[in-house]
Amino acid sequence: MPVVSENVVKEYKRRGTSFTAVDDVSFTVEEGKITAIMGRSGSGKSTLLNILSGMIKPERGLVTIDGKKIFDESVRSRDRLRAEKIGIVPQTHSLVSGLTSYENILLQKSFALEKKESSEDSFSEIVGALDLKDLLDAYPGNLSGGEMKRVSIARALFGNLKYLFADEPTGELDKDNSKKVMELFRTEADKGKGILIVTHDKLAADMADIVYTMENGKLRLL
Amino acid sequence: MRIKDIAFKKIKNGKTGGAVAFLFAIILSFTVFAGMLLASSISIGAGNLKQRLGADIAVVPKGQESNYQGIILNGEPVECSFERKYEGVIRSVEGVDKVTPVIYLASLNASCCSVPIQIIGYDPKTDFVTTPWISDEFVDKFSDGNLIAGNNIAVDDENTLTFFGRTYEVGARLNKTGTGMDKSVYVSFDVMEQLISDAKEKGISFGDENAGDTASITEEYVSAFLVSVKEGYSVDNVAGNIMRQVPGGVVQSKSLYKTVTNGIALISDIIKTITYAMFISITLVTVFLHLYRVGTRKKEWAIYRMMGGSRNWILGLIFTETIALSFLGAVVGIALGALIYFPFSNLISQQVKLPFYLPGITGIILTALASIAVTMLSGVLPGIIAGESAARTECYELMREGEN
Repeated sequence: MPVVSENVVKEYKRRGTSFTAVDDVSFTVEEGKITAIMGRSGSGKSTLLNILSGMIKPERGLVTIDGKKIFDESVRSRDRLRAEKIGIVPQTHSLVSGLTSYENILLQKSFALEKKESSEDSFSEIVGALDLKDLLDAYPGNLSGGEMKRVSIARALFGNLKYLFADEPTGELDKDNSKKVMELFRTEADKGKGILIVTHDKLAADMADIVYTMENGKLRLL
Repeated sequence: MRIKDIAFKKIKNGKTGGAVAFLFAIILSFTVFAGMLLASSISIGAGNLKQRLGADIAVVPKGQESNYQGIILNGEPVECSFERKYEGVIRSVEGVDKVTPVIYLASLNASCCSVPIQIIGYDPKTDFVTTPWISDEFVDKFSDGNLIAGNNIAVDDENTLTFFGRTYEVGARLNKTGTGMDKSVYVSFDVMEQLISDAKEKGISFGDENAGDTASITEEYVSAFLVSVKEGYSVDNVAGNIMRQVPGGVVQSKSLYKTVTNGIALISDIIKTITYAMFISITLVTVFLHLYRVGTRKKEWAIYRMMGGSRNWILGLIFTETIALSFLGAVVGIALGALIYFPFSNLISQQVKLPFYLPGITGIILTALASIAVTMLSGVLPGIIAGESAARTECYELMREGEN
């Protein structure tokens, strides 16, 4: 059962006037597929991703994850839902200072009540695919933007969660690393993970199974 | 990873933003530890004084009452003389149990004397005040004619002390009392006669200034009489009866002890007031410090929330960090307090001018534990307030603020 958005609307007020960031959006993030949303900055992509992960409540519309209407649930239940089901790669740097890359990768699993199987093999596989072996003992302050991004991708994947929502996952990566990330996403999708990426990157979008564009809050299938 | 693992890693790597709060915890812990040690040191000293006084009444020459207190409390050198003929008079007063004369002679701050201190002569035939306090380890070695040194008196390599150009062997040492008695030297009347004779050559007279022969001066002059009262008799009444029959002043141990306890009460009140004030002010200040440090880490809270960390989880992390910072600050404060208090305890005891006796290791450990408890307690409220503040903020607000 996938992540479904039905007629979702989110409005903001900016300098006294309201504008619609997400305008009547209906779509599905299917398991085993990579879904990409492309669009310019400010088109509402990130807001939509935050709504789907239960972090922003929409004014109208319905979001269900595995059949559960997430905004009918309490804040705590939505927290638990993210901990148990959704790995998130945010747009900005999201590593916790004072913890090494290795500890940051382990962090996601700290929040899940139900600890899913994540073997040493899967850890090595993810770390190897993202070329992080030599960076595991490094602290965020000693990493470049691209390295931090790869660590946060590893963290979102290591939890072995059902869905992955990634905001500009290849944003700070070179072509080589972007390719590695997308290939890893493909492997994960093939294992059954439902992946949603929000991106400017044409190359990344080309590797997706379903591609949408977003403009002025409206979502359109390409 | 568990909350405490994350908290300790953040603290270890200096990433909690709590350096100033940590510093305040050190200050609070230092104050509480040093303050409580000082209060218990003078309290134990007072207890020792009560036991050590031995006599219920001291009969001294008129006008010398406060000097007598100075000897007992601080070991301040004093000299005074009193005709010994009153010993029999005092002994005959109803209710008097024991009487023993003492002589006070101050040594000089000069090359003839090892140390400028109070030398106290006692009469071995009647003494019930000094010799019972000889340390067990010296009891067998002590022989009449040797000096008895107070616990704080430093002797030379040969275990001797020199007074008025003559060297004496130290035959015994008194148990530590934490009072002025630790800073005095005790001699029998035989030795005291020799000292008085030597002192006269240095221009210090005792008793009758014109007396040519000091060989038996202790039979004519002493400095004071120490009196114990029979059970069932009122010390006040016996003291009054003595004053009526002897032209001297009396100092009652209970009034001396009361002077000390008044001093202790004053110091204890000051310590309590400072501790309470520090506790309240540091608790309030650290509320703001912790709110500030929590405010600077909004992005981090957003990351935890994004991964599914609940509000309670964040509150738990902030609270754990706050308490851990308080605990570590407390430990450092205690270490600093110990580094300053113990090496300088003699200096402190001179400054407070009250009986002063360091507590034993159990007392010190309990004081340290109490300081840790108080310091950690002061972190509870700031920890909850700061944790609540971060946990209350909506997830998306945190993410947006964290991006700024």
